[in-house]
Amino acid sequence: MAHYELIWIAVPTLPPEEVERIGQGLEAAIKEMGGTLLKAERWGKKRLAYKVRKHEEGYYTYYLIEGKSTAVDEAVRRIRMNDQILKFLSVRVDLEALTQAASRRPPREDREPAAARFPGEDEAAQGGY
Amino acid sequence: MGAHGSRESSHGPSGGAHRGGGRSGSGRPGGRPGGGGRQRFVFRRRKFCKFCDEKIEYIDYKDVRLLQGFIPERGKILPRRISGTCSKHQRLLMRAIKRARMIALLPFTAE
Repeated sequence: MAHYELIWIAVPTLPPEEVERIGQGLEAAIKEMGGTLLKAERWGKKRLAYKVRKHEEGYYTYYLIEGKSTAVDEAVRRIRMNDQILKFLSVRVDLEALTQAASRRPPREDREPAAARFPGEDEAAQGGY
Repeated sequence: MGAHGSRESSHGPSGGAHRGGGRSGSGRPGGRPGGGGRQRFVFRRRKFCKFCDEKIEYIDYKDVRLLQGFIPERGKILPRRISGTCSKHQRLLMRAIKRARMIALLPFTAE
């Protein structure tokens, strides 16, 4: 099974429930297409390195997905359609390399792993990112 | 210049094949160590590659702290001869930095 990372950035002016709603839509899409969310993290509002559509901050969300590319494609399709998402990036990753890189780095305290949101589905509680 | 809209973010295999560009090696005319016509091959940079030293295989674009050490003031990527990185890791580093830039974790240019 291939693994992918998907990061999307929402407009910072949205209320958290709204971002949540968008997230759920994407997550549902991923599952529908046979993908599994191994990790879902809300990085929250972060300062952007440059202005995007006049915004200086953005609400980041990170997913680690296992599945076929169709799952990611579908999520990306929906992301493109949503004007409230400023930027996104999807990358195919090698799980081994990724976990190796992550374990080498000291875990960050300010990341909020959303494992609690997927009681049944969350397969791996892979070491703090 | 203008910020990138979400339409332009990349999606696809990270194998790196599509990133091929005209990166030439040391084939530049003039300025070669050892003079113009000599056969001498001087490896000036004896500095080590931090990544080789730690046996790192993958450079994560999300690791801003790590990456920041390779983009000084103006936000440009440090050349190998300054950072001492080996060619393989320089390529991985470049890829990571460029990705980080795409999602605004790193700047393209800094004023």
